[in-house]
Amino acid sequence: MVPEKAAPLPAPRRAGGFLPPFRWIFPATTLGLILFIILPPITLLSLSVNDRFDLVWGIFPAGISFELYRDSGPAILRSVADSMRIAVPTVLLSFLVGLPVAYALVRLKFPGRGLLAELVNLPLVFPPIVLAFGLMQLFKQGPFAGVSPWVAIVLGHTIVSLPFMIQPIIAALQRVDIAVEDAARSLGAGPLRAFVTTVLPVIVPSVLTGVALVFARSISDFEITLLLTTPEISTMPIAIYQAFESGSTRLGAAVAMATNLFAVGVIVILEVAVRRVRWW
Amino acid sequence: MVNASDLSIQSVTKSFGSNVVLNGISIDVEPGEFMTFLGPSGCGKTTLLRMIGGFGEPDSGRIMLAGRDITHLPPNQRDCGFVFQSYALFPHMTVRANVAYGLKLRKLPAAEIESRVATVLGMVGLEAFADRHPKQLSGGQQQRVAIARAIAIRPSLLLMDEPLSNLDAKLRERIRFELRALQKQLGITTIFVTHDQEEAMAVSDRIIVMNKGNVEQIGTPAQIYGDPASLFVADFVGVNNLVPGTVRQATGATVMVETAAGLMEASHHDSRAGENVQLALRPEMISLAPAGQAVAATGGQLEGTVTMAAFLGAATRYEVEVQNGVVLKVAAPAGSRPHALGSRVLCHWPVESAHALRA
Repeated sequence: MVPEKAAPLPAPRRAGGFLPPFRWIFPATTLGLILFIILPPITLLSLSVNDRFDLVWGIFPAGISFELYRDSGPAILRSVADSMRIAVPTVLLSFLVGLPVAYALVRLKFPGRGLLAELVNLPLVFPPIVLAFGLMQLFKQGPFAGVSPWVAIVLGHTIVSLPFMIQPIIAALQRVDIAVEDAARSLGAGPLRAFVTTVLPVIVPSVLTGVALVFARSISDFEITLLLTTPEISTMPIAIYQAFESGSTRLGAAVAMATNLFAVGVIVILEVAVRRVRWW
Repeated sequence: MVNASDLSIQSVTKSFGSNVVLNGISIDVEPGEFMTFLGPSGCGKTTLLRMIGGFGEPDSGRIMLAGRDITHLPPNQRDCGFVFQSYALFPHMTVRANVAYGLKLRKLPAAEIESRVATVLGMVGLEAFADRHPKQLSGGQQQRVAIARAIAIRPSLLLMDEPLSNLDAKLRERIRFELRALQKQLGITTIFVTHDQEEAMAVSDRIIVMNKGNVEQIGTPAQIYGDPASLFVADFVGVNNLVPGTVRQATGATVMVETAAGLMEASHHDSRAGENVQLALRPEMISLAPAGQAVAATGGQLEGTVTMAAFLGAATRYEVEVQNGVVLKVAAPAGSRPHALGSRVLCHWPVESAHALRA
């Protein structure tokens, strides 16, 4: 579920592919996969630029109109801004919490280490709606009532995003020779400087992988945001949901297309950065 | 570049749970000395070395470097160069940056850093590789970078944890001598950890043989080789004739030991009459002569039959069955007279090369 590191695909082992009786499997499955990955966004795109409700074959637009984008422009921009206002602090907080936790899990021995390792992965197996329900109780009535909903949403997103930051960093730290830090120490570096100058640079690609995954998790979150939000906060998924709820499928499609174009753009940039940041 | 300091380890103990790793170790290392901790894995040698470097504290005891108590100082305040078994080079830095790392932390002027890096890279023969990254170097070259990085800071003490164990046999032998020459040139007090007795003999001024958290013997390579203080040392440094027996009579420097092969004279440390001992005798200290030929009357001698003969080039190895099934292994130097399988031979050796060691 969580990729260790965004590594480029390894070269194929042999050119021939499958044995003759099974040759059809590869093209068939690939074609099926591609269709089901690209058909939903194509349908949405068609719906959002169609000038009427019905689509040709249920997929292609019958006429072109950008009227919906024009009308919902301010709402789209606002939801992108709200999403960023939550995703950026979530990424930062996940890094600040995730890095020490990952380091402790890989390098230190302490009581409860196994328990902590399980605990940080819990949000991956927990249905988000259940977690959201619990958080809602805490923040709306419980001891944290009165905390700004922005803070509540960032905290909620951080909890469910942490495994996406921690797992790639753990995998990277396990590949770093533990003696490297000792060497830096013996050469005169304090513990923090030894880590920052000799370990951190080596694990930067994995940190960026974590950043991309946490960012994706945060901007696509629906359940947690929905239960913790107030009318003043409208992230991209919330805006899409509200647009569909308002009765216009086409408006929903327009908001969905615009916001996701932005999200995909950010993640593509991060992915490129992960590949480029290897300087040795 | 001489910056020799003396090191004193005083009654150091360390346990991990119920496992005693160091059992009250005391060692004094002279300034400029090349000292080796030799022992099997688990004897505590690496734990002690890491402790000297600041990676782990003793449960009790003190470590003094140049008169300063460093027992509880963090590694970065100890001024010890450390060469790790895995080399632990910084993979994202060039050779030059690796070597300069410790100098930059000392905030030396850029020109001095540059000249010092050039000097140490020259010493290890890697001037041409300064701009490479560690991954672009061979194992032997990486090893040299690790050594250069450790000596660049001109440490009071150089610590090396099995630094040659990841190299192939040929390279290991060559780097051994280079290391020894470099250490003498710098005059730096050095502690070297290894489980390879041949390596320890080749590089050290003195060797400490360790076993189960205790010091078994401290001495020069010649002392360790020629006069092992315990059965463990004898066995570990390759004495492979061990004949069990009982001390009959102790007279000054030598004892008479009764063995299955008869009464044999041996040197000893503090054996008493009636004690069970093993008589240790190096194969290369035994000479062979055809039976019946007269040999010097002093020393030990036993007649027997050659039951195995293997020509190995530099030496010929024999097994000679003497009395009551006792077999002596003999290594005869190249060029010595060959003895055929089944022939009767006389084994003889100087008394001082036979050691009665408490069993």
